[in-house]
Amino acid sequence: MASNPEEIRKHQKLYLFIGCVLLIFTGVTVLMTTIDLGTPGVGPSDIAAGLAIATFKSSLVALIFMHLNSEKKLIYKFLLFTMIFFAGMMTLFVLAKLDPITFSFYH
Amino acid sequence: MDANPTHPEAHDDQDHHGHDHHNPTFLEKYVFSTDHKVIGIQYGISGLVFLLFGFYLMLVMRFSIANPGEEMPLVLRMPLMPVEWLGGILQNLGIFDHKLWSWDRWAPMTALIDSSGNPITDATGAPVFGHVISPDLYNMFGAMHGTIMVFMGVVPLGFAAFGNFVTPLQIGAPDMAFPRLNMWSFWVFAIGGVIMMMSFFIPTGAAQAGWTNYSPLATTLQVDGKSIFWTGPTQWLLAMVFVISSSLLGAVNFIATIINLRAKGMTWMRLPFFVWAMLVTGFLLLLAFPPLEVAALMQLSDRLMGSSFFLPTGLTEGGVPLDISGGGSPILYQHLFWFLAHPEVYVLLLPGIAIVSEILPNNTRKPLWGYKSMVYGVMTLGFLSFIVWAHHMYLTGMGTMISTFFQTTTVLISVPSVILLTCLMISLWGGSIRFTVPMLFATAFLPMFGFGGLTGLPLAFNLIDLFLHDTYYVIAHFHYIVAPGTIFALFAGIYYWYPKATGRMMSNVLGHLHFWPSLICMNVIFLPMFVQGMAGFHRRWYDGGKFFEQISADYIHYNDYISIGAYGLAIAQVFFIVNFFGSLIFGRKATTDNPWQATTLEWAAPNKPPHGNFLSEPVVYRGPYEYSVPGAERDYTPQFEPDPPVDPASLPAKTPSSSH
Amino acid sequence: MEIPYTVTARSDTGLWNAKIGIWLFLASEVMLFGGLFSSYVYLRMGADFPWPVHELKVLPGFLNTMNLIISSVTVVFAWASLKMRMYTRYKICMSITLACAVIFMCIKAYEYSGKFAHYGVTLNDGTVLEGHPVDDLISFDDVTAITVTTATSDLKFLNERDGDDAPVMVKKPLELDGADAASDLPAEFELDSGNLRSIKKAARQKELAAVRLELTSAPLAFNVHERRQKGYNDTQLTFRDGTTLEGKMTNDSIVFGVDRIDMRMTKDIENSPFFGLLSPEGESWEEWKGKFLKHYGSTMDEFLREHEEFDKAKALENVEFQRVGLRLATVEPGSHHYPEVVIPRSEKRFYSNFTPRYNPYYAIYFLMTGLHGLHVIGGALVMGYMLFFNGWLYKKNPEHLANRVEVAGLFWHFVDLIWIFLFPLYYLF
Repeated sequence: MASNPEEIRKHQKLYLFIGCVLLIFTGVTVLMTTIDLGTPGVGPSDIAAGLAIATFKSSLVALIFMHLNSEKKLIYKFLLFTMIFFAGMMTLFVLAKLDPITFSFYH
Repeated sequence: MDANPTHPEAHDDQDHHGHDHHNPTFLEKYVFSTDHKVIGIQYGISGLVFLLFGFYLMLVMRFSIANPGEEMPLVLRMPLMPVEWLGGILQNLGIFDHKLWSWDRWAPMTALIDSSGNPITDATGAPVFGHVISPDLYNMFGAMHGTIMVFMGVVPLGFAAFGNFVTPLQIGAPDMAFPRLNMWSFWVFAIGGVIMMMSFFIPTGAAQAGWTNYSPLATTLQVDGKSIFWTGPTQWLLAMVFVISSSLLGAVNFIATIINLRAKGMTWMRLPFFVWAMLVTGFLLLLAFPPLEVAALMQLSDRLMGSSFFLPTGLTEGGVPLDISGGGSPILYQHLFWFLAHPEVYVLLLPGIAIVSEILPNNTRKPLWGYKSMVYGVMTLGFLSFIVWAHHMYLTGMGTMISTFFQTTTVLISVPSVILLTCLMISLWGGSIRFTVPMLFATAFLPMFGFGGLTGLPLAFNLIDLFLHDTYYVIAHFHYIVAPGTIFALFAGIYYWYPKATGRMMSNVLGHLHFWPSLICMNVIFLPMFVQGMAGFHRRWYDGGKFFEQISADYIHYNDYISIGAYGLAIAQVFFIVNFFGSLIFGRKATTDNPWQATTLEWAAPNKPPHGNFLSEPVVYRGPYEYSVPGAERDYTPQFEPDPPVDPASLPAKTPSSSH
Repeated sequence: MEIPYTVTARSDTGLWNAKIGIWLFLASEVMLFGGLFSSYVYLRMGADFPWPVHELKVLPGFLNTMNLIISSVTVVFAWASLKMRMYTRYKICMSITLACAVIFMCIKAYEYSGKFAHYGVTLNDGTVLEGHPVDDLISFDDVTAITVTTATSDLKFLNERDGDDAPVMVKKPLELDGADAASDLPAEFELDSGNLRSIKKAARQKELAAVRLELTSAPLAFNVHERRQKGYNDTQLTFRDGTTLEGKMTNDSIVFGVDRIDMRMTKDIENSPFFGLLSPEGESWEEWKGKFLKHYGSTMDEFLREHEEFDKAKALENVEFQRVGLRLATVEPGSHHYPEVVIPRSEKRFYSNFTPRYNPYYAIYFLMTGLHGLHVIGGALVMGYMLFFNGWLYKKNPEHLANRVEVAGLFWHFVDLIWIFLFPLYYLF
């Protein structure tokens, strides 16, 4: 992470640029819902595309604004474990609804 | 962010290393203190009070189980009689619409029966009436026993009290990283505790749906009355939100302190095992508690706003459809709850192991065996504890695939547990053991914890669990881990660090009088429960199985022995209470700052450490457990003592510090 | 001893205390919102009702997303300004951030209030009518006696009275004779809180659970809100506090202005009893039925033309078809005239406005956005404190203030990051 004033001055343009990218991609997500992506209505592909854009946007926020592009190793370790547990929670919640014979989901 | 010079507590740092505390007022020093030691003691006292109260609830339940339909003895009614009397006055003054507590309501006058079920009559043949424990009271005390013991007794005592008092001392820090946050976490916890206790005295009584508070029961139970807010389960949830928030703040503080405030020379592998265990516990709390907070908020919303997060479509009560939208899932609550509550088991357990692993080397006078494998073991344990939760939910009808997954991880987690226990056992081997009172409790911890752990293995298997689920077998299993396990370790810790906190030693004689009856009674209580559980005794029978005589006839008489054991345990605790308070005044003064001849850093600070802890900045020269170092003058070489000028070749090759 | 590393980083970890603290806190926040997102997925996958899609207006959500992104940029600039020791620019950036937070909450309040004003009735056959109630109170007239409970009754139920608030006079109940607390009550007295207390006290002395009070003043008429009562029949109505009225139930129908009909869960669309709920003054429901069935048929035809792979049964299950085909907006744009329908309460299964009560979709929508809103408020309070009360710290140690702003900024970015996921999940699909 930049800590001396000179480097920060250089970074300001980057911050503005990323802000614009985020704004543009917000517009793209909204426009995307009006486009038919194969399945009629709100199908899995729409959700996947929407979440992909959201993930892209949030990683920009995390990497640039939250300076995760150059952070200490320790912080990465915290976040790695947190993400593992979060992913585990969501996956296992969903899998617990899976019927192993029909591979469909319980209601 | 916390120590800046405009705040009063930073000012008086300069001038009170000695014993003159003129600047802070009484409130600042003992009530709203930011000193980690005061906060630790605050947590400790409140934890002990909650443990005692939770124990009282259990005694009432034990009476109901062993003597259903018999009159409740006066001694069991007495603790709440002052409240009953006060409530009567307040009601007559018109302050409350109801009596705060009424034994007539919770243990109503009923015609008494003797132990063989025949009505008791007086000389004229008229039936005799007396206070008999109602099923509602049993449910309420059962639910609150679990809640209070787990969330307000053991965790505050084990993690918050010992962690607060000992951790900064052991790593050589002047205080926690965020002292004011530390104070806040205690007071947020205190608010939660007050709400939890208050819920006994509202018209519906406290929560009655078990300590797990499963929906839909917990959502639809106790909703009568004009206000859904002033009902037991709602207050339970509210209190839990406070307790959870407190734990989160505490966990952030602990981890930050351990990472950033270690003294000079205190490298990772020179940390006492206690600190490692606290670090892992902190992470468990930090990452596992939020999902429970989600569950609590959702259930609050279900109760207060009528939403249906955990209520399925078509739910009826007494045949009448409920006025709800439905569409939610009760299983979701169980997932969120157990995502916390399984790691919570290790939150209960790890402080116990941590304390024992400090006391064992000190009293065997030899290094902790396998320090490094214990460190990696405890980390693995922490990691795995996040992915085993659904073994509490085999009965919900999950798919076989996911059941198998959780079965596998559950069996896997026994590996690091066994590593920890084995290391502690082997640490005893070849030591010249001093059986001090802390050591008695610590050694008793080992087999008791082993017992609890090994009896848990069958429960990991889906098929066996289907039979044993919710029976006394489960009760016995986890109580062996928590009661003679963790609580013994906590007692050991109190006896061990008491001189550091007060400057006086606790009485040895009273300690022995506390230990031996406790050990015997614990086993009298919990061993027969395994048998009862395998015979199919269900944990929620308020009459101990009398109603289901066909099932329970062969083993129902065990209830009497168990209850007698519980009363014996209660008597044994009197010695502890007398010892704890009496030693403050009459205890033998600790002659040195290091009365146990220990090696870790907390013994470098003066007894009753001043604000700021150490008189001079501590420096660490070696690993934490250098006992009986060959060639050394004494049988212990503290971490804070510089190397004596000796020939390096004579130093031991295998000590934990040798790697760094 | 001072606590070390409050401003400068520790050399081996490279971090100062608060930075570790905030990242740990954010880790727990990830698990908090992680639990909520997992619950969202779980509830949505397990929903046995049509999960609402495109239910929220996109524009306010879109504006709020933009709003938060802009505030994220300004907060990072506030930090950079401090690092470069440009205090005025820091103040400007921070003020913009705070303004964004205020705008965010205002838009949120606008969205919430719109939802609260909207109602839905589910009929017994599963048909859902959405719109606005014209009259949904239960009329209960000719009340001549009131039974109060000793334990829980209070006088709030009197607020549900119809018309003036003249004093309610009652006769002293006979069963209280002999009780000390009732001795100073006259034979006829006003039902106010002081007298109610005496009655309850006297009833306790006589060990009575409830006391029946006969009115001596004119009979009362009540218009009771659905949520205030616990149960009623033709001659009795009980409030939630246990107080019971004796009188006559005159009308318990809901007069409802419909702006949307949802028949996705209707068992037999062509013969739904909904078509029979004709309002006497309203339009002919035969006409509406024709209109709806025509719309339904033409949407189905069009849908099947566009998607050849679907047959009729499969189309009925398709989300997009359901959204358009089985939901009929009956309001002309700009018009405030809603066709009215009179629903007897025996015909409704469930009635609520769009609050968490309405269904799990709204429940989790309000919980997640509400919790996110609380985070916005919390972050704004902290940043407001830094903006208005931390000038002294800049003079003393600007680096310390920069560190504080960095910590607040990290939290703020996290709040933005959560919203980036909330926006598509709730507003777009």
